[in-house]
Amino acid sequence: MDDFENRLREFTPRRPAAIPDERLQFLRGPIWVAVAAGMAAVMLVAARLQRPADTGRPGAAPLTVNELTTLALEKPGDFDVVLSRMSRELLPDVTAPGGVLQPLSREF
Amino acid sequence: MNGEVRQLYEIHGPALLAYASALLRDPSAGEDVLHQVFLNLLRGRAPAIDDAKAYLFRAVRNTALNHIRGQSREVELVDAGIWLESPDGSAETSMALQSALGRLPAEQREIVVLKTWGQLTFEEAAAVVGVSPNTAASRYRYGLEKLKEIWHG
Repeated sequence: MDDFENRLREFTPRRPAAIPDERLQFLRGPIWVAVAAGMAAVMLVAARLQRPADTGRPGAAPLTVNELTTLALEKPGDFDVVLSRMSRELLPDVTAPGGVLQPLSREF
Repeated sequence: MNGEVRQLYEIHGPALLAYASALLRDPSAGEDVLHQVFLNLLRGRAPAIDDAKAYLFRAVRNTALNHIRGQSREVELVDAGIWLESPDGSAETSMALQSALGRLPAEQREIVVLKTWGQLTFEEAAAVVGVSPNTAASRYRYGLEKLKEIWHG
């Protein structure tokens, strides 16, 4: 059995990769939160740029993310109303003539 | 502290990786487990350690067992990478030995790995696994016999 044991010991365990940087591990959560927040901001800006005419409606000035956050914390009831209004104004109306649903409906 | 931990990683990393890989039958998952153990050490989440080597093997075992418990029972364990390097550098030879080890009962496999590549005594291996030294020695002997039989057909 000794020969067999010696034969086994000729095999060597491979060296593991270096320990990942602990600071990056620690930051993993906050980095994803920041990336998600950044993407949300970019999408909001892109939506505003795509529909500049709509934002000019009287009383329809969209709020910033900070203003929305403050509103959600201080007046949750108003937040729902404002968010619904902004969604109507900023997002494309897929049901309108020429909207996305119209060409899709022709496919079926 | 960090320097000591990294030194322990340099010294015991390969044997600990072999042990974790043998338990999980997956060197990639074994490496994750190993990193988890050492990151906890680097963050200072470790009790006072008298015997660092024994502590590390126990910590790797506990973390690997937690990993296994967290997996779906449907997952079939297959060796998915090399964690033992053959003397002739042949991946085929390495995989053949790893596959033969994988066919051993888990309790024999871990003692064989602890003794052969961890270079632990029977007393040390028994303490890691939580059995008597006699049981460890017996598992090693049966494991080695079976491994020889499987490996050489």
